[in-house]
Amino acid sequence: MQIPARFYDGLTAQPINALFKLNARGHTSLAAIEDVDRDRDVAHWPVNKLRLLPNGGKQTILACDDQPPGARLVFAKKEAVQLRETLPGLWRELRRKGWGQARIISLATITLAAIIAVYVFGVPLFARQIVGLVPPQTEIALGARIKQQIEAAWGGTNGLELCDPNTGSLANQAIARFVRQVTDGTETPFPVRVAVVDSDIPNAFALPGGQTYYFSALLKQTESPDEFAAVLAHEIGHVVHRHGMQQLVSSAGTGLLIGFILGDATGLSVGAILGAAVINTKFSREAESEADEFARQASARAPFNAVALADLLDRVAEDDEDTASFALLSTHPLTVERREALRQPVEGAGIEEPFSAEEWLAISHMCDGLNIKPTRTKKK
Amino acid sequence: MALSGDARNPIEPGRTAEVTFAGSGFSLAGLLIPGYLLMLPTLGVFRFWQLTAKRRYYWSRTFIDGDALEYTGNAVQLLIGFLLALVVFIPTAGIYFWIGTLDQDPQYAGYLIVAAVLYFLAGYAEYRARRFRFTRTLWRGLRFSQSGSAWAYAVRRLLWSIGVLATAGLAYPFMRIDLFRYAWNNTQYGDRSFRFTGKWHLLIGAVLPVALLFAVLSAAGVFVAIESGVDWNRPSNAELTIVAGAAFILLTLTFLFGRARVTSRLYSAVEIGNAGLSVRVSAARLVGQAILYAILLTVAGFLALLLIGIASKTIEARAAGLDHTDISAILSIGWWQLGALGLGYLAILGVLSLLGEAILALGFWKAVARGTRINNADDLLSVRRGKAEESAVIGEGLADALNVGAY
Repeated sequence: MQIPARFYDGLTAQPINALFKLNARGHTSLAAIEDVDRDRDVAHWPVNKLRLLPNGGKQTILACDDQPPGARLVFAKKEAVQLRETLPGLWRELRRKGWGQARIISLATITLAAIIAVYVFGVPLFARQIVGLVPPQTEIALGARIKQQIEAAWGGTNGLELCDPNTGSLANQAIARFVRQVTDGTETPFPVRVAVVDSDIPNAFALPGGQTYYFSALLKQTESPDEFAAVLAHEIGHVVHRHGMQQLVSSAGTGLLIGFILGDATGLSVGAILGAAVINTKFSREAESEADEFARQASARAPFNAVALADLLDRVAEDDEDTASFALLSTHPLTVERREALRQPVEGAGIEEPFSAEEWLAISHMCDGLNIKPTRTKKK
Repeated sequence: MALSGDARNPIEPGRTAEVTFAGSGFSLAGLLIPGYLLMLPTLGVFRFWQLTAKRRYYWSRTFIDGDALEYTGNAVQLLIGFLLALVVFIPTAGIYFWIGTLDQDPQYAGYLIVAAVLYFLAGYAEYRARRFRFTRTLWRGLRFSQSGSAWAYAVRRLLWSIGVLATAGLAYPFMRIDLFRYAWNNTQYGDRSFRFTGKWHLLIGAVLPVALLFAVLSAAGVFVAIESGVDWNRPSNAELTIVAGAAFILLTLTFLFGRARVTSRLYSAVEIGNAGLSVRVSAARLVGQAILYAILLTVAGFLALLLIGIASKTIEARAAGLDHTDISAILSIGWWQLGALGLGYLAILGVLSLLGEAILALGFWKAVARGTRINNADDLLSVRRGKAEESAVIGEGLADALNVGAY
């Protein structure tokens, strides 16, 4: 059996037009390579050391393990057919190596998936640890910057306008007293500042550093002092637990890390976005129940009924005409479990009201002095 | 040792050898498309195998004087290199986040420093990636290799880049020559070294006419626009579109002509022993490819718009009336829509990447190969084996993460 090939000896750059001779003169274990132009054998390759390389493209490349690393026999497509009929074992071996690569790919994929899973579930824990190391002053400074961005994003040209800028007013005094009662005895890292602001979106939230917002549109739907107190206590719970900061830490790390693991930042940044969304959803669910628990405990210190939180969320949800209410519900998803958890009795939770009748009257009319835009102007 | 007079390969002094490329956009696309699909279930891990397959494709179809190149690298080497690069990147990500928590002024300074460090590392990665490819390239059974220091290269690149910034780009041709010289003077084939014989002013002739043409045409464009009475305070959409379109086409043409001329001149100044390269990249060919690319991109964009139109009809029904200023409301769209959005995004990226690979990247490689001649090619027959160890893998991983080094 003689097959034409191009031969490189791996020592010089001289290509040789060769014949690859199998079973020549009865030698089954040794293949001879004949230089066609000079009509003599230039090399002998042991058949059991032959290796088919995957590098040849349309050509077929044969190497030999006990020859110089660059030594090659290169067969054109037509000649390779002949070689394959003679030495099918070479192709089997190459296929076996292909499966080896597939195993490596699977293993690497599984490892990557595991890392991502550990990360997704570990981030809330890590975030808590990391935030514990962040000095409150840093968080306050950060919160101040986020406040600027939030006010620009939600408030339009003038930012978010305070309903009642007079800190000495009855309403603001009552709120301040309530905050003191709620935070009394807790280890809040920073003072809680509550701002009741003019906005046509029913929402309430807390920023890193203690700034808490109660939007006028939500105040309009708030029907009892208990509801107002419960929402406020819930948001203060976020502040005390530093949830805002934790969320920031977890989402910032996620995007970058997933981006790097998955490679070039452009191609798969969508993966990073989805990953961040998954982590955020999981994270906020835990944070919500933690803040609920805080509110429930606080209902003993500043007597109010914590279940009122669920009542208000229900009412906002019922108002399905107003799709803007999704804003509140998407960050505060209401579940049966949450309501049940809020209903657990707390010792000392009073039948008393958190605010006096005059105080509640003042609070509920805080934003009346402003020319409140109708709630549904933004709808299309 | 005078090996050159071997009877098997009679020396023909002054013989010119050709380079051919036997690849096509279609066959490359046939290789790449299954690879893109495999990216999804493997969470992107497959890209190392994809890159290896792509290199094998290019190398094995590039014939120099009748003998094809061979790429001997494998995907696991790339994967390891990437893991090593992560060791650099994860702390960088941490620092990046920390900078985000600083006050405004130190924040800008911090981002600037991080960007500068990454740019410096990109130079390191570029050089190591080149070494990775050369040491895994075989021609006629002998290996290429690259000496020199990647750190030295990175320092050079950084200093030159500062110079380019300081001179508003004027120093760029000189930077290009200096880095090209450093790389090629440190490149070997077997036991023989390449050398770059180009002088510092080599590219002035190539770049200047193109730059001047660009300047003159730009000036003419502005002049015509002013003369025809465009009110620049309130330009109409049509006027803006025409101006932007003309500027874009002009820039593209400038880039393509410049690229053809610069590539031709640089590689024509590369010699090895008594052999030398002579390269003439056809600018017209590059322009033709760009036009084909633009046409296919337009078709793909049209199809994408059609699909998006259909998809948005269904989403619109759900999302009607959503307050678009509110991110959390937008996020409350169902998971399957988010998934569809993600897939659509990846599909668009895939098509863009495919067109770029199969038309532009392959086209450029083909244009360079077809335009290359090797003068006195038989001098290469006397090259012998050199110290051919394969280079360490780290640079390639960094290059992958920093997105440098195409082939």
